[in-house]
Amino acid sequence: MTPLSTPQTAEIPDSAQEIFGDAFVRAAEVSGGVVCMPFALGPVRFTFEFAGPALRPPLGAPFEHLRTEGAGADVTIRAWDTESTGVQLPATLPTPGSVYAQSLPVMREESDCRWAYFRPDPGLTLFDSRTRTGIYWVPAASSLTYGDIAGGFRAIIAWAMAERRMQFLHSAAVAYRGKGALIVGASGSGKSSTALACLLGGLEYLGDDHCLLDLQPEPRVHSIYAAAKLHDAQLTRFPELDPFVVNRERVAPEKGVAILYPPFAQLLPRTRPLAAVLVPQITGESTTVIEPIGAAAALAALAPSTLLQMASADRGGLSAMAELVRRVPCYRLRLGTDREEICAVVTRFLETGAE
Amino acid sequence: MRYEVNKPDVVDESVDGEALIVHLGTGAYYSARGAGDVAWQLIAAGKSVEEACQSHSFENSVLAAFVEQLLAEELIRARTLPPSEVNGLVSVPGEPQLEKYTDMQELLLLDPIHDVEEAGWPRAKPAAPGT
Repeated sequence: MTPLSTPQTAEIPDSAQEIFGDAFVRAAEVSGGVVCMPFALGPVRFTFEFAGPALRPPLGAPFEHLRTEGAGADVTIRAWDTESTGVQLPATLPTPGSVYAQSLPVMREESDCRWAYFRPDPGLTLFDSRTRTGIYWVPAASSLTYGDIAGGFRAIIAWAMAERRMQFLHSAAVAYRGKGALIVGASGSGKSSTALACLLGGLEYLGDDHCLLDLQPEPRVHSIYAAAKLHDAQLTRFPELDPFVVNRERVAPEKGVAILYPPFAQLLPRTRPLAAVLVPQITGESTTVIEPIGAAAALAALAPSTLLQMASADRGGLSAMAELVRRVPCYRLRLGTDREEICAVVTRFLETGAE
Repeated sequence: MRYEVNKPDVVDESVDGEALIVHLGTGAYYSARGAGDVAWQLIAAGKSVEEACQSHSFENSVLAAFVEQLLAEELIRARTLPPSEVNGLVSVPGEPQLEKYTDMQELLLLDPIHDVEEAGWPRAKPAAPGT
């Protein structure tokens, strides 16, 4: 473990960073120090600092394919749990249960650059844009849901990347021979199944539910999570992923999370330029077909679910998504029932059809 | 009477002759195609119903009804500033229509993020209609 260093909070009195940062420091002290994990999302360097070892395996695993060795970070995310450290949330705050039950705010916001919210089970996510530091707390590692693992720190990442004009997307993405395809649509539209069919057919995989859009200088997709969320039926359909599920006890009530690194390390690029936006549609027919659609239809498939899922993130995100569909050709992916054919059609399309 | 987009709760973009309008407060989103896109852009830019009818050949009662619908959905509000320039917007045949979609509203209810008002305190999300 890395020896504990004092967080740089001196010039920010009464800030979120001070209140929660102090609790993080105490948690790290009692649990033996900080477990660091440097990684990069596109051009932005992140460091996770976990107070003790408890949260590092579940929350760090989906980011292993993005690890870096260099020191220094543009964004630091500090995480601790009460069960392994004994450190509670600061006592000046309302108790988590009452906060969520009453839909009350977590803490007073003193500027427009900090946000906080409790998840229902409960948890805390906070980002202080002045210090570019995120704070994350949960009661225990065992309280993490499938969404916390496969979509870990998503609010902090979305907030931090929006400052760099990169948009957190509700989308999947795959790539072949250097050409990326963003797969967009509401939950249940076939995004995940398409991405997983492509992964298991040998295409590169950049995410099944969340990706990062970078429009400069060319539209690109950055991978965030080397993970796949699978409900029961998907585990039956993709049995090859079953050995990599890390939360087996939660599959029935929630979803399973398969950690794809290292088993699929060769198919997990950090980033790829975008050649197409695909809007899947489950047809029930036997064959899979790709046909052009207008940019407006693609925007309608992508934007509402992204904006409404990340409602307090960047409200300029719609213009970024509109620019994407104006610059990248859009297609309807009419999904057939044959998993291998879906991969073959997408592969052939990226090899020959996508411009 | 002049109007403007009800920001920050409402965001919009026009692409390929279709306006996509998302109400982040309610979780509903809307599509206005062709003449509806033209009408939306004119009204959102602060043109009055009369001005829009004159410049783009809408029937007054039809455009007025469209504006009433935008107001009822809280997509626009009264405007005090002068209108913005709208360049290169070509008339499209047909009546402006607004299509409403509510299939994403559950996403809003699942994600208990509280937005921060200018005054500094987060604002709880409104409950969805019927809850």
